[in-house]
Amino acid sequence: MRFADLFRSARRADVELLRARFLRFRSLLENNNRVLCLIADANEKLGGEYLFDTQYLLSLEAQLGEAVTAVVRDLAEMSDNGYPTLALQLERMRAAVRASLKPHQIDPNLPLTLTLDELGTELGDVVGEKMARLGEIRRRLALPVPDGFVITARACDLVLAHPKVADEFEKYRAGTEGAAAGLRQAILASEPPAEVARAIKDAVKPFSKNARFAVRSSALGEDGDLTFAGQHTTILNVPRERVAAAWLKVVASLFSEPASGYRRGHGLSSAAGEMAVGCLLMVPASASGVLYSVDPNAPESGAMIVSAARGLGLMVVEGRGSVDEFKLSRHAPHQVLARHIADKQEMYVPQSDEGTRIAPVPDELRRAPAITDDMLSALADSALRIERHMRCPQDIEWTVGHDGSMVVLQARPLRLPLAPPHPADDVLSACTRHRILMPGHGEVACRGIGAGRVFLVGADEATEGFEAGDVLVTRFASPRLSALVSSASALVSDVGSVTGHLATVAREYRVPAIVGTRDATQLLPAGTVITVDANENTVYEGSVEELLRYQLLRSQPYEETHEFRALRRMLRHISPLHQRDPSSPDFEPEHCRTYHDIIRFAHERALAELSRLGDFHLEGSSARALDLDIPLDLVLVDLGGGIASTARGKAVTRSQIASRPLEILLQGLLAPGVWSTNPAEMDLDGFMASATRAGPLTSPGGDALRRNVAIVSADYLNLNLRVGYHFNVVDCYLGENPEDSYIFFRFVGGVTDVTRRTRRARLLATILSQQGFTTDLSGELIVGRLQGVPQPLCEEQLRMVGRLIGFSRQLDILLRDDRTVDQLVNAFLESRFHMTIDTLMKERDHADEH
Amino acid sequence: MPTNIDVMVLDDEPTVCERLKDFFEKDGMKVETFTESSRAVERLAEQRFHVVVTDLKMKGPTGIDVLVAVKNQNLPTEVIVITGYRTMDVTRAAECVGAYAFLDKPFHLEQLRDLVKKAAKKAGSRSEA
Repeated sequence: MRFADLFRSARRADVELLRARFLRFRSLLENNNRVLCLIADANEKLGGEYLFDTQYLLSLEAQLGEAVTAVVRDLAEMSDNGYPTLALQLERMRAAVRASLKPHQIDPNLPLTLTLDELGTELGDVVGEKMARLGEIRRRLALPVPDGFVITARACDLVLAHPKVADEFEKYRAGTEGAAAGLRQAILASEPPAEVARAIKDAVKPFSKNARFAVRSSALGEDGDLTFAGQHTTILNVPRERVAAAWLKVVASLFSEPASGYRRGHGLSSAAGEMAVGCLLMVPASASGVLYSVDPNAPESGAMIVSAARGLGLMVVEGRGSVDEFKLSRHAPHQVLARHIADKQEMYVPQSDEGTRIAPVPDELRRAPAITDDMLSALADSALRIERHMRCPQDIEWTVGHDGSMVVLQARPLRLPLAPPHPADDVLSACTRHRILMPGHGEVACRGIGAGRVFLVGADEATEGFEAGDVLVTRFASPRLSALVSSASALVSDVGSVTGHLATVAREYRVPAIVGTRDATQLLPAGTVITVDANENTVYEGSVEELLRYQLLRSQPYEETHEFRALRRMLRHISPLHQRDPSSPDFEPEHCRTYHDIIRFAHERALAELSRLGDFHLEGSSARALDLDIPLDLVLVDLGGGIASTARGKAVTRSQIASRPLEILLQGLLAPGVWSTNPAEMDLDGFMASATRAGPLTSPGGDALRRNVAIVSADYLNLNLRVGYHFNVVDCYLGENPEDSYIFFRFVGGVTDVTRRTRRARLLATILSQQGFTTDLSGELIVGRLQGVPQPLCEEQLRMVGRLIGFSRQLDILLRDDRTVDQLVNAFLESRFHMTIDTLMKERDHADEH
Repeated sequence: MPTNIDVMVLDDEPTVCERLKDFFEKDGMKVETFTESSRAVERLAEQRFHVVVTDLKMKGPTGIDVLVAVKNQNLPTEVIVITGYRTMDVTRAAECVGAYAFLDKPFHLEQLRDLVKKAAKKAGSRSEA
């Protein structure tokens, strides 16, 4: 918000126009909440515990599209069509959402290659689950995975559309006998499409000339609920210039007999674009193997299983030769519970040109463990981090380089045998052994169980020191925190609702979340370990291992039905929130990428528009004077329900005020001692400064400055109030939904020198942020904002703002030095409102004596 | 309540069958799945189930046909019908024939499990009588 915006030339308007804008605002809030509820519902369906069909997706698309359109329309009406690009963005998004409903449709704008750093689980349907997860592990968990890139499913689409291949593909699709073999041959006989060859050439360019790649299948649906284990080809040790040819071979393996049969057997269609291919830089391996984060034969035992071989991992994966086997504790430091060291005679090593060969293991290494206990422990640590992030037991391929560093090559859900349906006795008794820190406070926003160290977010929303796996405990469910949510074990907030932005993000990442607890930040001490059971809405002290294990063993891997994938594709254009920070220069329509971005943007801008209602110059005689005990000329403009119907004539008494926010603000402003009737003292320094200062404040130009106006409704207040040389704007809405209520408070003060202005700004900002407001300072403008808090708290703070307006009248004269700032902050917070230079000095002397 | 609940799951989508099978088995139930309703109707004559969970719309015999087959044979089996879009006519027809319950998609799996357990209890007590 620029300073100049406050003094935009006043437009003429009648009260009907203001009323219309206010009604629009209400409508926008309603539609905004509707969208958030729909997104909440849809993300819940992704949790794997629902059965839904295409009909649900169609109706979801229609309802969401309609509600977001309504939000955009409401904002347009409120702002005189101030954001025309927003509607265009929405139209584009809506087309993408609709397209995502059509099966197997690959976005024609999808790049042909993406680097690993660009991937995350949300891209599973264009790069395959395998590569999407590897990208997630690298980007969000910062665990070492090989460098590389993925050739997306669109490249596969281009091959299948190739004239020499398309006919064979049609036959295959029609289910013609033996068509798969013909199709494979056609693919292998074709050249990589020029466009794809060029993209691959660009993608390998950053790697050294001698780089070798592992070219791995990452078919869509592979490694999800269905493993396709071993059905598709992987080619190891491929030189740069042969990556394109290797890619074609992997694509062809999509149509191998076993892979086709497997897909048919599981009811997956064999349409276009089903194969993405990962190209990962080969890691010179001293040892490799597989880790199961839970022992499938004894899931309750609290053990992990590791198999290890010398050289490349094929020895373990293919079950050739003998390998070392370890059983480790799941608890740090992951003690080795059992070990079997095999006589490892052979290992896989890279061949000099391409591919791999079997080589003898040097004699002195044959009977030595392939991996040290320290490496095992580090490996176990990483595995648990992945498990926690993915929220189900993991099957992980790993390798250790010659330098002893561990690298994750692949991670996928581990299928376990049947789990107990109900918590066993040991789980229940474990729960009773742990102290309950918070029973049933607030509402569950996302079910699940998570444990970790409490990371407490203070009023300043500072997030330094947060580590993946911490439990995020915060006073406000501020969208600014959404970047942390994906790597948190759980989320708990004092304030916030199930349909808030942050709760929506928690559901997107399936992070257990309890919101609106009121007092979590007081009950849950920073740094202690807690277990958040968001199934039963209980928070325990310590880590309840039995409960966590129960949850883990009951977890279901993501489902890969057609509808499920369509919903996930669709939500990618809907649910993620990128527009987190309204003060960012990117907070603009053209940077909105999802429905969630759009409604957040619109909500913010609507608040800004509403707070400018006071800028209008009102025509007609709709304004009525408010009769107060203090010398304050205030006129009221009623938008509906703000003034009691008993009020007649031109004057309104205080008892006739029906606007709750105005009444509450006045309670603060008129509280005993706040409104001092003594004329403000003026010392010479202050006076000289004001006399020599020119600028908009000393030469009031706009109507807004000449009149004190309160635009009110039963639940709304827009107040432009000039008190002495201070210009206050309060904009407040008290809604039923905690996400709707907010207070905006702007303060501009004049007539004093720069040092005093700085002190005054610091004082107000300190008080406001101590009360939970987010504050912005720019020059002489202070903007404080409180949002997403329940009504009673909002009302309490509105009363505080009233007191602050009254209190700040006398400030300029008192701010003689820096020390007075702290003194005045304390005085205000201790309700000692009437301060003079004398009292300040006495207080100081008194303090110095002690 | 019968100690071992036998459930038949009938849906022409194999993935739905698999999911429900997995889910019920986690609860210790015995599950047979069918993607062809004609085959399921044949199986009803051979094997006793406490509960049949069937989709409404399928190629061949519909969920209502399966329900009618169960009732005609006087089997001690309860039928739960899953439906995407439900019309009043179908609901009324199914209620007349005696469906244990209707469940609209989308639904929570636990909701279905609770229904299956209650239905099994009823079926169990009926077969003992």
